[in-house]
Amino acid sequence: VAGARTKWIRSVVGYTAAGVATSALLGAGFGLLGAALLPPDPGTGRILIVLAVAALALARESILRFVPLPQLARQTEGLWVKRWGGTAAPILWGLDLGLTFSTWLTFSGAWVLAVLAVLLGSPAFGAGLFVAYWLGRALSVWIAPLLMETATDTPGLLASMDSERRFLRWAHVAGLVVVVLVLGSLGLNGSMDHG
Amino acid sequence: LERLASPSTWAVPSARLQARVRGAFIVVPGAGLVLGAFASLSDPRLAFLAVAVIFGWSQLAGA
Repeated sequence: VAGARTKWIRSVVGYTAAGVATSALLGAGFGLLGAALLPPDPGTGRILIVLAVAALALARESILRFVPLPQLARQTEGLWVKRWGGTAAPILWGLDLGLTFSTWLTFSGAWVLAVLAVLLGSPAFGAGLFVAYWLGRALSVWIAPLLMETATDTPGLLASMDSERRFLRWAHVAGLVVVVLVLGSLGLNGSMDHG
Repeated sequence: LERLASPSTWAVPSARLQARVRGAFIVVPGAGLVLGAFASLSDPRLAFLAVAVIFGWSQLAGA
């Protein structure tokens, strides 16, 4: 049991760290893109553009669920575990999923983060945004053992997660409402630096 | 996790497990929203970081 626990921790740490690396690169890339293409001072106009995108995302997640998201219709490769083994596969999954847009998106929030990272033009902030996104995404792996009653509960856990999926959508909608409110406030103030 | 999910392998979860999952699905983003709201008072960018965590959480680990 101790060996299995060590192996699990090593796998999840590798998965999380690998995702942090690619998420940071992705977010920094968005920030660099904005810094290269846009003037240095993100004024009210750019805040309003992000606000518009966030409002569209909010509409999509609350009432326009049939609207398809722009995305790659792809899953990460489950067979990597057979090809590369149980140590390398979680790292490869982390590298892949950390890229965020390389696999299916359930909700539209990642696009709002991308637009925000580009329009603010800060590589550091862009990296922070996508690392935060990844850490939230990987968190479910970390806490899964706390939810399960036995080590063989994985099918039940997956079934429970599927049946409670509406709470994930509500959380996403709540996050988008916060983004709209904060951006609306910033748009009125005309600056990101009111604090 | 979604990658492992297949209707043929799903089991009927216990009520306790279901309640735990529901609790996690409510508490984790709820905590993120509260922390984000407080953090935004000092710097709005911190609110965006908190929301990014919630967005990632709602996507879950697999795809």
